[in-house]
Amino acid sequence: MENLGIDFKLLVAQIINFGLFYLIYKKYISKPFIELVKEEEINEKNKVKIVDQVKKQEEELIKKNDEFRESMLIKEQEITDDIKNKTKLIKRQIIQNAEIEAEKIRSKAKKEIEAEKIELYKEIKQNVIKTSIVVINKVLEDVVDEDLKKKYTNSVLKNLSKNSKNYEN
Amino acid sequence: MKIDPELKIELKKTLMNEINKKRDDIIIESSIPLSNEQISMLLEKYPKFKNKNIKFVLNRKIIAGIIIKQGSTIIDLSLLTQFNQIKKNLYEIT
Repeated sequence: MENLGIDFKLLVAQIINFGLFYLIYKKYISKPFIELVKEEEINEKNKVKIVDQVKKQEEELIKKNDEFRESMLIKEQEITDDIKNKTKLIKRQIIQNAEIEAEKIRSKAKKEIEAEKIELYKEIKQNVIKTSIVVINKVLEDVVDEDLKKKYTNSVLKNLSKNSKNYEN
Repeated sequence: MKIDPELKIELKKTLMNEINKKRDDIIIESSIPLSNEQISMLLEKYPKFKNKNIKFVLNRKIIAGIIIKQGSTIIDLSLLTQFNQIKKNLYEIT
């Protein structure tokens, strides 16, 4: 061994040194380091988990947001359709009411025109009669002279039984 | 209102007497004075007037013709009445 250049004592001492170093390393350096690494690993895993969770939550939120937007769009469409339908209905009702009202006014106006026409016709007739009476009166005043009066009286007397009218009280 | 029956009878009697008295009075209204010829024509048509008290009245308003009044009876043959009748008919039409 000595020929090979290996000092047994030194080797033992080195082994002991190594053993001591190993023990010290294992006890005071390696364990905390490994624990630190493990802790870091756990932390990293937790971080990844949290990130995943956040991502999931974000996705869920986006999904919910999309759903909400979609539902809002549907609701908006429904409300718009409803308003449109109601507006159409109201419009139709207004038109119907207006048509009924117009028909009433038209009918009333027709009746009024008819009544006015009749009244006017009556008035014209009466005016014609009045004028005729005035004319006849005038003619009678001017034309019926004593001779004509005599002739008329003679005629009346001749046709007395035919024309006579009796008024008895 | 009730009228006493006796009073009622008395009133009726008086009224009838008045009417009978007036029956003998005949009023003939004309627009012109009637000639003798016309009076004869009238008496020819109504012989019962001969013994009655006839009063001739001139009424220019009747235009032409005659009106005979005997008691409550009136025979209207005037032109005015004819004209009024036409007027009335015309108004009735409208």
